[in-house]
Amino acid sequence: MADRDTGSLVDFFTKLFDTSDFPARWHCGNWTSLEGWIHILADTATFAAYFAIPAVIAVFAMRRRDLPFPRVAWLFVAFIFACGATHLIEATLFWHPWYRLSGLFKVVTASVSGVTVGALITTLPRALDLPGRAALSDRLEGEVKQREQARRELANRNDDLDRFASAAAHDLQAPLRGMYLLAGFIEEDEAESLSEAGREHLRQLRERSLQMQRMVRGLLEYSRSGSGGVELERVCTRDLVQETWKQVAAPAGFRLEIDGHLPDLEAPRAPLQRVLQNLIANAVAHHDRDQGSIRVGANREGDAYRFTVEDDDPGIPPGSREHIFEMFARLSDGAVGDGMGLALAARDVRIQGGKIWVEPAEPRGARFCFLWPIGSGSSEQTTILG
Amino acid sequence: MRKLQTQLSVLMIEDDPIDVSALRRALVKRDDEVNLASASDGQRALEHLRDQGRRRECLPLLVLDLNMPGMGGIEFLEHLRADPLLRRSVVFVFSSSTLAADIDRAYDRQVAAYVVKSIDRDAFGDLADLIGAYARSVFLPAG
Repeated sequence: MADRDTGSLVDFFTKLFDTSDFPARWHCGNWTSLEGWIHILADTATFAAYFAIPAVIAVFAMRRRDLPFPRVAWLFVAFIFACGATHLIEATLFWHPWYRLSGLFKVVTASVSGVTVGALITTLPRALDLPGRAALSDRLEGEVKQREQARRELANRNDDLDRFASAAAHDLQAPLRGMYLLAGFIEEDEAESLSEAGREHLRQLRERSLQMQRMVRGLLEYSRSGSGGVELERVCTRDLVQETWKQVAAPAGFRLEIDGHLPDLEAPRAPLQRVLQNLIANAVAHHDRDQGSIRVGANREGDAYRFTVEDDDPGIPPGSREHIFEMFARLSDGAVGDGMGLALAARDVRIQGGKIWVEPAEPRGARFCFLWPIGSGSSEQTTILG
Repeated sequence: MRKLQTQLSVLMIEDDPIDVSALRRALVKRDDEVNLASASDGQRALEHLRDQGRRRECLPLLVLDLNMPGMGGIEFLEHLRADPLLRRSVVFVFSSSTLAADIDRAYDRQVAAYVVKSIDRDAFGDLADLIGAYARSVFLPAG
C-alpha cells in the first residue's frame, strides 16, 4: 500500500469514478438519518440555487449586449455553477464515495474562483469610473435641454425665415403688380394713340411682370413646401388624383387615365397632393398639342409605392433629364409656368425620403416616376430655402 | 324702416396707390354708384372713420390690405372691433397673402370676405363685382 501514501495523477484520473477505495459516507462514522439528510438536503438545495443563479446571469448577459464587463459576468456564471456542482457531488458521497471526482470539482471551483478574483481586482478601477445613475441622468438631462434649446432655436429661425419669405414675397410682388397694372392702364387709356409696336411692347411688359410674379410666388411656395402636412392620414390616392385633376383645370382636349388600381395609404396629404399636382400640371402645360392624355399609376415596390405620371408629348431630351428638377429650369424659351413646379415636387418627395426621376415613355412622351415610402412622415421639417 | 343705400361708400385701406387706382377703374367700368375713398394705413383709416362718425355719416364698406407700413390690417381690425361706434363695419380683406394663418386671423375678426390679389384672375374686377353686388342688395349697418 506504499503507493497509496503519495498516489499518482494517472491513478487519480483513471479511477475518477471508482468508489472502491473509500467507504460511502453513511458508513463512515455514526450518522443518524437526521444528521445525514440535513447534509444531503442542504447540499442539494444549494446546488439548485447555484444552478439557477448563473442561469439567470447568463440570460441577462446574453440579452443585455450593453452590459459593462461581460467577461466578469461569465466568470460569475462559471464559478457559481462550479460551486453548485461540488455541493451536488457532496450530497451523492453518502452513497457513492467518488472522492476523486469530488476533488476534481473542488479544484475546478477553486481555479475558476481564483480567476474571478483576479478579474474582479483588475476590473475594479474601471468599474469605479463608471458614471452612477445620478451622473448619467444629469448628463442625459443636460443633453435633452441642449436639444430642446437647439430645437427652439431652429423653430425660431424657421419662423423668422417664414416671415422673411412672406415679407419678401409681398414686397417683391407689390411693385411687380404695380407695373402690371400700370401697363394695363396705359393700354386702356392710350390704345388709340399707340402704334401697333407700342401695344405689343406693353403686352410683353405685362406678360413679363406676370411671369416674375409667378416666379416670386413659386419661390415662396418652395420655401414653405417643407413645412406643414406632416401628419399621416388615410389617403385614397384615386380620389386625390381625380381631385387634383379638377384643380389643374386642363384644357378640354386633355384626358386623365388611371392605370389599374391606385392604393389607399397612410401619408401626409398635402405634400403628396402637391407632388401629383405639380407633375400633372407640368405634363399638361408642356404638351405640344391641344389634346393629349395623362396616365397616372401606382405600384407597390418594397417599402414604397412607385407612382407614375406619364404624358404623350415629345418627351424630354436625355441631356435635360437631370436638370429638370432644378429651380427655374425650363426647357424652352416660350415655356409657360414659373419653372418651380418640378423643383417643388422633387423637394416634397425628397423630404419624405423618396426618389423622383423621369424616363422616356413608349411610343412617345415622358414618364415621371417617384417613390413614396409607405407610412412616411416627414422627419425633416424645415422651411429653409434651398 | 331703412332703405337700401343709394350710393355705397367704400374706404380702401391700402398703401399702394396703384392698387387704389386699379380698383377705382374697375368700379368705374362697372358703372356702379360707388364712392371710393382711400387711406394709406390703419391709423389714418381709423382717424378718417372717427371723423366721419362725428359728422354722423354712414359707415363705409371697408376694403382692407393686411401688409402695410405703419398700422397693419390685423391691428386695424382689433381697434375697429373694440370701437363701439365702428365695430359693426363690414370689411373685405384684399391681400396678396394666401397664408392660411392670415386668412384665419382675418375671419377671427369677423371680416365679411377675404379676397386674394391673385395674379391668375382679374382680382380687381372680382372685388369690384362683389362691391357692386353689395351696393345693389345688401343692407349695411347705419353706424
